[in-house]
Amino acid sequence: MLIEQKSGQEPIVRSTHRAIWLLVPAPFSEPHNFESVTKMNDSKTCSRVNALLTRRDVLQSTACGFGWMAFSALAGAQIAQAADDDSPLAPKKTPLKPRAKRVIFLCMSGAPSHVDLLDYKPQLNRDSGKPGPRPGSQWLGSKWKFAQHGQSGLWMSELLPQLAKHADKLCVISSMQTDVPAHPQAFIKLHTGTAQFVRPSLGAWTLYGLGTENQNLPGFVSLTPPSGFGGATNYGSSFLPAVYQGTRIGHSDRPIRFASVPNLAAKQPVADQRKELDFIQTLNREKLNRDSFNPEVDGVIQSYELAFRMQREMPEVLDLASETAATQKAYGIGSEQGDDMGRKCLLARRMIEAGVRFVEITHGNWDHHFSLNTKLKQSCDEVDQPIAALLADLAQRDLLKDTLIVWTGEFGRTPYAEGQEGRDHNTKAFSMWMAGGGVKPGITYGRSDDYGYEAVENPVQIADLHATMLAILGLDHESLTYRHAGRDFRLTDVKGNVINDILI
Amino acid sequence: MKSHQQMPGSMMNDKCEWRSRFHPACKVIALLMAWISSTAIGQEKLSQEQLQFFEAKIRPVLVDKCYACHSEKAGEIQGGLLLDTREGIRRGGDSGPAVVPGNLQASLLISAIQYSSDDLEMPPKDEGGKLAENIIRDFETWVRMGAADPRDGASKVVTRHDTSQSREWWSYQPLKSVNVSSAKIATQHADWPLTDIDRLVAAQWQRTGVSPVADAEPLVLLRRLRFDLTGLPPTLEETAYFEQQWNSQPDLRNELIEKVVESLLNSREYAERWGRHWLDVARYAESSGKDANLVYPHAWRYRDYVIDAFEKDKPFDQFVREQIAGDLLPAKNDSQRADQLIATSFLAIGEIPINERNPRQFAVDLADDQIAVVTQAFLGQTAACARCHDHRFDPISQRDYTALAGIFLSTETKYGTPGAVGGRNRAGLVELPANAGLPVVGSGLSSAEIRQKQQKLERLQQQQRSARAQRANGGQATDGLSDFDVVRISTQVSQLEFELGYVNDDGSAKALAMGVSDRPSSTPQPRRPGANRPGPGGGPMPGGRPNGPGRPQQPGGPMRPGGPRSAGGPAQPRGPMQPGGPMQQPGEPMAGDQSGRRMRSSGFESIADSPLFLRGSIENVGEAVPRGVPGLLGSGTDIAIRQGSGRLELANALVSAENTLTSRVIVNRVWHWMFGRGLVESVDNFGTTGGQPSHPELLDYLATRFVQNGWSIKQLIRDITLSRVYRLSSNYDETCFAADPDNTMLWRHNSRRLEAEEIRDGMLAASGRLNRQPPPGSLIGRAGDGPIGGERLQAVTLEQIEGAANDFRSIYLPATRSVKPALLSAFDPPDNSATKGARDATNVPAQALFMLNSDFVAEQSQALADLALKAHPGASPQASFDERLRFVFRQVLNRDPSQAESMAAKSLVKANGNSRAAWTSIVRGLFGAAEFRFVD
Repeated sequence: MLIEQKSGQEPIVRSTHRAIWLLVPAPFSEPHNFESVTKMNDSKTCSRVNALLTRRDVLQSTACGFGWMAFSALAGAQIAQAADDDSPLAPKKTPLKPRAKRVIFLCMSGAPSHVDLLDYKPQLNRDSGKPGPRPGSQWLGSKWKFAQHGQSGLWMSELLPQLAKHADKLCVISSMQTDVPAHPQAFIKLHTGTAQFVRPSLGAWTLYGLGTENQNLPGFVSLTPPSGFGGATNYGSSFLPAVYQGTRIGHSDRPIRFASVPNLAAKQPVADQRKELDFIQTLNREKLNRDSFNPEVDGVIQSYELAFRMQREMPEVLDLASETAATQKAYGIGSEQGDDMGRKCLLARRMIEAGVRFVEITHGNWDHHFSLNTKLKQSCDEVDQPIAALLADLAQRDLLKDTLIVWTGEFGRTPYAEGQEGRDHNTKAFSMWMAGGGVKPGITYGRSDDYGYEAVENPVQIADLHATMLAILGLDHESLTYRHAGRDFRLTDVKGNVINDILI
Repeated sequence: MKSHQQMPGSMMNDKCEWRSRFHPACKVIALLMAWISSTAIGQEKLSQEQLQFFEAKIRPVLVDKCYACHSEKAGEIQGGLLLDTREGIRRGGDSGPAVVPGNLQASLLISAIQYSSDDLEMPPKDEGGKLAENIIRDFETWVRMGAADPRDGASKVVTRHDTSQSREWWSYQPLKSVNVSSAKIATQHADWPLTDIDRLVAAQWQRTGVSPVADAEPLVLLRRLRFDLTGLPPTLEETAYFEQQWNSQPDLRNELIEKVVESLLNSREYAERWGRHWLDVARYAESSGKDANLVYPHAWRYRDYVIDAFEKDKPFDQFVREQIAGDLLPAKNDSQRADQLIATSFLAIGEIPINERNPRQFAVDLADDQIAVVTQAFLGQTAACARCHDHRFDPISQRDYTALAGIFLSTETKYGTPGAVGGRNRAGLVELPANAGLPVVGSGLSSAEIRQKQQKLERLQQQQRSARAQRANGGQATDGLSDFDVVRISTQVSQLEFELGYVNDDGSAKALAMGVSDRPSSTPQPRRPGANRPGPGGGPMPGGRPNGPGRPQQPGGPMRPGGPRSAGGPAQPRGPMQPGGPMQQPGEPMAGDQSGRRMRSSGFESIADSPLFLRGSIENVGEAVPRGVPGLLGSGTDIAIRQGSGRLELANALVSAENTLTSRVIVNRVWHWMFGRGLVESVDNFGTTGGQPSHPELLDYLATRFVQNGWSIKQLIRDITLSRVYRLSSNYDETCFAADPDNTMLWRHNSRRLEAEEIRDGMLAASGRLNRQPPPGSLIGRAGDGPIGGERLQAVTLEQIEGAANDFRSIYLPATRSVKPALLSAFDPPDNSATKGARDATNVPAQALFMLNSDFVAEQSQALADLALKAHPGASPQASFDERLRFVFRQVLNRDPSQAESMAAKSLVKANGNSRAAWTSIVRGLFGAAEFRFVD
């Protein structure tokens, strides 16, 4: 096979035994990584010989040049899952050295109260009840005790006792800021960089930049995202090619145990379906033969084989019953509080383990305007155990070192009271944490004032967070661009500074 | 330099900080002063003291420290910024105005010399560094006092993105008259053309080294015509007829095609297909999208209006006028009046941030959506880029944008949505003439229901009043209502007022639509009991019944959005910051919804010019720009509007003889829909970042002819279908492909993937289940007001939309934003957030899963299998095999099976003992085949 690069054009791959020109999409300006295409899923048993067959090899091994026979013979044997080197989803080499290969984004929808969880403010407690920063407002001290945890001595409140055991894994940022104290705008901004326009989501950009490692599964999955707050925008691809959009599983208003992937379940025995699929592929092959050259039809052929494999692998990934009872219990599955989040966290682990690049989990509702005392505790109880279990599980499987975990809300809450026992929206300071791949563990970066009202040291904007997340993945937020409507777009627009101080 | 790449709106985000909630009231005064002083720039009469201050403290520093890089005499002007004239310093450079009189915050010069941002420090450290503190204080004082500046003279406009050249861009040039006979066609192609379109295409082949492939086979052509014109496959009868005629009368094939095209163009199916195209352009949707995503229960009327317009072949210029200014056009009768009012829904169905807390921000965002859709749909221009700064590439300035903004801010947009949290940003609706004979969806209210709702409304209003009174001025409430309760009450009040306001006296539902009207020409006075809402042509604002328009007024008067007053009660206590007049200044504390306090007004209450919002931020109010139509986008010369909003003038300018864009843009869209690719590939962008036409003469020929033919879309389609280039096959040719892989030169027809609607409709048609008589309205229209999904007050559930299934054409499925019917979602339905003239066509496994496993495909497959078994009976699965197979192949792929296909089908049938199951499997295979979802 010859690979030629015409100046200023997309690379062109020419098959040597047929005078056919295939235009290779080059969505990423870096050279394609043609070496890493045979990445297999370790958990699967398949022969080494098969594993070394790339799709291109398969295609070239047959007289008709399109590999139908090979596909047909081997389909179902987990063989053709090797990434297609000209697929826009093929794993790509990153311009920077990657610290992490994959992301689990724990999105706490509704905005958790940082001053009750991660940002310890003794001054706020001392001045509780005294006049706050706005006319008529009163400071509201935290009802919960804070203590230092681990070697690092990270301050955390008693609301997160399980997570506190992993304090030395966390990198807390206490100086987050965003601009609009309304959930939808801030939520969309957290996910796409701007609420002003419909733009590709963080996960879509990640997939665009990195490709994905298991071609039998979607590369970007969003578990129970809200249908409001921007809905599909938050996992959409906007102007990026549609292959980068996230696959939604479930909705935020239903527990995940009721969720499903559309049309994933075959309604007939696999053998019968295979026969039907063979018929479809015969029709497709006939069409290809008639057309001599038709990459679209070739694409349909591939999508069927992929779908056929997904039917098999996806339910396997989604099937939590295959985990031991001990694991399930550790994640809180079956417990009154932690069942839903526990399922999501365990699913996330199974997905990234299977090669999914970006998994987002949405958990709500943290919008505690009222009844903070009971409701915040309840929200914490729902996530504390599952998230702690996720961290422990990843560490134990040696996946934490190259998996980036991000935990954040769309903004924080006011240190002054709303009503008797509530907190309003605060965009001037909030806290988040990261853990895993390439992030300094057991540190706190940035500082808010003595009340947790406003970031006063090293404020971090959403664009900075995005730039940093991309950097951790080996992507440069300034050069990860996509040309659309006549200009190059990027996730961080014209903003964003990588927070190098938190990177190892 | 980073700041030069600033994206439209990106600064706005930084500015949307809702300072107002936290900010001292003094900011209002400062900004008010800023605004007053900035509007007075024109005169620039300086007092002696001002002059002295400038000459003594300011000019020497500018000359000494700045002119080296920022004056006309400087070699390379940095950042496009000239500081040597008043105009230059106020216009600013690439990053925005250097000095905004009276506004320290908006004056980049000040933040630059203060060194307050890492990105912008002036003078630079290596050029002497930061100025002395006292000098900085002088500059601050100068700006605060109004930045008096005697330096007259025009400033050379220098920007890094010099757009002066862009006026030469092809799309801004007048249409050229094209002499087809002078088209030079190479000898080998001389006999090829059938029509003038062909001649202009063929003239390019010799030069580009391509030659045309063969004409399409008759059944391929028929399938193409059928899908392109109606979005449906040909019927068995049509196929048989066409084939028979084609073969028996080879000399009359042109006439045959003409005849088929004519009958297709005259069908409602054509209008449903082409109406759907336009709905993509119009970003049609039945919900507000973004955050709240409230349904638009009346949007379907616009959908039907569009379908009717295509069916009647409404002249496109009239179609444009009606959508922008239908409410301002004369009407012969109620029916036409209704039609024209509904047309203006075009401006109201956008994706808008209903939840926006700041009504002023909301108003400018709404106008921005309207500017974006008008300029992009009709003109192929991205004028919305000029919201925050002059367009970087196209000759559209921020002033041009603001001139257009004035038109839309002088327009009241009626999109309904009473179900927003606390009734926030809700608007009225357009009441349609009762005699127009329009269907009404919704059953109305019985007198008992009216009474009940009225009582409930009064009770809630009572609660609302007392809750507000208790919470006024930060007081502690004792009514035990949480803030959430207060918001809920406001929301319910809003809903009830709406429900009661839009029924007739007998309780029957009124015929309503979304739309627009001009605002009143002067600011409405504070409401007094009995005062009727001013404004011509406007629909009523819903009032607490019976306070609706035309009803005897009760104490309290008609309701205003966000600040409804209760019937019979005392006036609301007015907070110190209640809206009083026009142009509320930003920074004013707003009533947040959380406590259910009143919203302040947007400040856009009457017909007025819009101020320039510096860097797009509503907090940085610049001088007012007279509303008008920029010549480049309109009729060649700038039109200033003196009366009314100016929408009619805008509409007329778009379709004027001098407009260089409108006719080209629409004929190019039609070409795209017929060929899968426009003559200008970027169908929505005719600006300088868009494409050049592959066949400029053909484009101008088509556009000119289109206008000459009375802006008839049908005639244009007819012309195209009768050309030979449209009839080419999509065959591959190695040599031509090497020379022109994208088929820019039209050496073959482009194969295109069917759109989501065509795939679903095509399956329903093939299975014989398509119902061509949809009931009026839509699922969303029947659902009524409220959000989609969510825990409370929802109008419609996610499941209802995603699971929406009926046997009507897909254009009648719910068209909400964000949530899509599952039957369409696998095949790239339009996103509906903005104009989209070209659909995506992805090729992803979700589509394969849909074909293999979905109930819908299984049902259609079984239905068609049943038809086949009934038409060709026999006991075993293999009985009448050839006849059955031919039947289902013709029905799905519109052709006969090949030998190999027949063999494959036979083995599949053999493997299954059950006739029905076997043939269902065959049909599903045909639906699933790539061939079904592509039109060659």
